[in-house]
Amino acid sequence: MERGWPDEAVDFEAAVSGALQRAGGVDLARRCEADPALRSSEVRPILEELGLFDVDASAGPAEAASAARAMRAAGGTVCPWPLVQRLAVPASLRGEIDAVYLRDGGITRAEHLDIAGRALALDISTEDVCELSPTSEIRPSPLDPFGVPCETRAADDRDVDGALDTYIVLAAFWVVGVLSNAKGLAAAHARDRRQFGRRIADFGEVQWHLSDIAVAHDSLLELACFNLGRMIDKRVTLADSLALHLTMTESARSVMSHAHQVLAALGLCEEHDLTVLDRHLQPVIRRPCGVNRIAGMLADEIARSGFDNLYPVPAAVSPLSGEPEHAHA
Amino acid sequence: MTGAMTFEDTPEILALREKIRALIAAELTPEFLRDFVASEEWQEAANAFCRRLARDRLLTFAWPEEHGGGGATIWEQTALREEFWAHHEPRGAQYMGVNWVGPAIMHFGTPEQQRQHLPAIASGDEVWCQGFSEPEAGSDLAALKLSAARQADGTFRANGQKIWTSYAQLANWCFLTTRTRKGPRKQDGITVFLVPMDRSGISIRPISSLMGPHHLNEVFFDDVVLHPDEILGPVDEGWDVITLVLRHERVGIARYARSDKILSEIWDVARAATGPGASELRGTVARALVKARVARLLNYRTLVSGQSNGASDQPTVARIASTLLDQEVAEIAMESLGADAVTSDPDAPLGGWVEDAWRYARSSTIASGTTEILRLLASRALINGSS
Repeated sequence: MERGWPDEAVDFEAAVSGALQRAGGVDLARRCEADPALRSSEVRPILEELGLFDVDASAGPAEAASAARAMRAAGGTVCPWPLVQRLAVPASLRGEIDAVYLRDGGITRAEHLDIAGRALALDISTEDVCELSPTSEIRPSPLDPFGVPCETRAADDRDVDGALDTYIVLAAFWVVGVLSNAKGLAAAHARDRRQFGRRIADFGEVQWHLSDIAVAHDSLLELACFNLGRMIDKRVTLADSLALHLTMTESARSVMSHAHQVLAALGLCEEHDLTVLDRHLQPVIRRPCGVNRIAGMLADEIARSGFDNLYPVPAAVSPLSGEPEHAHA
Repeated sequence: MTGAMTFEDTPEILALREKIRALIAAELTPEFLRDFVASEEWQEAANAFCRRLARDRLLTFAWPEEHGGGGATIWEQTALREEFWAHHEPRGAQYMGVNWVGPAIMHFGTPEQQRQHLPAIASGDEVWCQGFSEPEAGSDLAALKLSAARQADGTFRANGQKIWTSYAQLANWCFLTTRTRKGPRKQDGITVFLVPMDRSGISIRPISSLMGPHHLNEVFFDDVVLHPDEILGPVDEGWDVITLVLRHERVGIARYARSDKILSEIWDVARAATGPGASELRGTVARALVKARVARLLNYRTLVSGQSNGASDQPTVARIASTLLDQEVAEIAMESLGADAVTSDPDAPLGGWVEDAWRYARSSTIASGTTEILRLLASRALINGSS
């Protein structure tokens, strides 16, 4: 087993992170929420300058790793641009399609769809595609700050092979970036904040919150690396992707709830980054569907195709052909 | 960094797994593999299996070749640990000698101690027990009080008590931690001795426990003579030895492998379930399968980074995930069998091993460092910035 990162991926993450920090970090997302037009006037030029729109996650190990680490850097500042959707577009569709979204049957809102360009919506369980277009201007909610009402239309048959797996891997790294920032905020607050004459990090209850944050964050990071490796080797399965989506949501819930407990009232303030991270994270982990539905899909997929663990769950065998009943493209 | 991201077993590791699984199937009965029982009959079967492993240098596959080991790579060692723990640790009490007593003797032992003990452990002839916990020193191990007072003739006299000592009634030797001096810190003045269990003045009282008969024991030391050549490492600086041992011990058990195997067997029950609750059960098992994969990856991370013995929080995070998974999977296994789960009859569903797995899992968040201590360590690493 190897778990190494190409140097160019490490450098690219540093470049993306540095550029976004210089542009204000999480405050850039705050300002774009107040004035969504800033996404095109301020954010887009930064991303273009970095060459992020041209990254092709299917172009080999180094570029896939660069895409993943760039998403982690973007997530660290909840960068207000549909980057995951952009980078999930298969290379064969670049120029024709600008963004891929996930849907679970229907889809009524999509974040940043107003600036995404020509978009497809890919069904998470059937992988059927349809065209996706906005029906109005951005209609923000606190937990959906860049949500855009949308509609679908039947699409020509297009080869979106790999888009679902790429989307979920990149989204997972984006969420790792959010959680990593939240982890750092919680640790720093626990170290600096004093109550009852001592720092709150010395209280057992706070230590438990911090350790749960570490476990949840690291769990998502390791599974995201695992799926990235399988994506590069072109052996990722639908069950792998659903497993990662499930962990992404569960880890996010855990880290954010524990981080809020550590930061207490301070972390509820809009002036504090934790609140912005939390709000902007929600549409990413809750679309295209909730965690219980993902778990149900995963169980169905395991029943059909098995699950590759140390002691694998075998795929169901068709009584007619004697072959596994289902194989992921 | 190599720049590669590969998580699959190599053909060589897959072949090793097949070899171990075939050996276990050929040498051990299903009854032996069904549950953990620290009886003499059970231990004799484990000893025979260990001698069989020793013939191929597989018992000490992880050890350097100069100490009678197989010189295995870290991934071969990992595959071995996973396969053994997934099959109810068929080495029995031997895993302690192999996993951490031997390595500690390699690190701290004199040439004479190495000559005396390492070949015996490598051949599967000796069983060791761990004299660590005391009634007033559990998680706070450095608070241990069992005294070893130096005598005028240079020997030491041990007086006091150890508790929760696994396999003490089966062991030939004890890895004994003692208080030889009171220092400014409680970690100062600790000395480790390698003591034969048939030494005059040692008595054992078995403790019935949830995990099965005679698994845990109290061990009493009444004016037990300890010789200077039985000291492991420097006198009064045994805390360094203990720290090394705990690092080996905490990373040494591949608990996630057993959880993984149980889930693969429980999945058939979940798949066949019908009626109310069936789809929820499948969803629950599916979630746990993902957690088993994650726990394995967290453990592999510590090996890849070479930090399994370092100050990083990586081994701690991996252990928290693995031990919590152990209990969650045991609970899911019980839940999946419903009313039949509580019986241990061999004709019960899945051979009645589920209730044993559940009982044993009760200890996983306690043994080798409680979850509370692990959480303390993980949070400390996060606050200090080494996470």
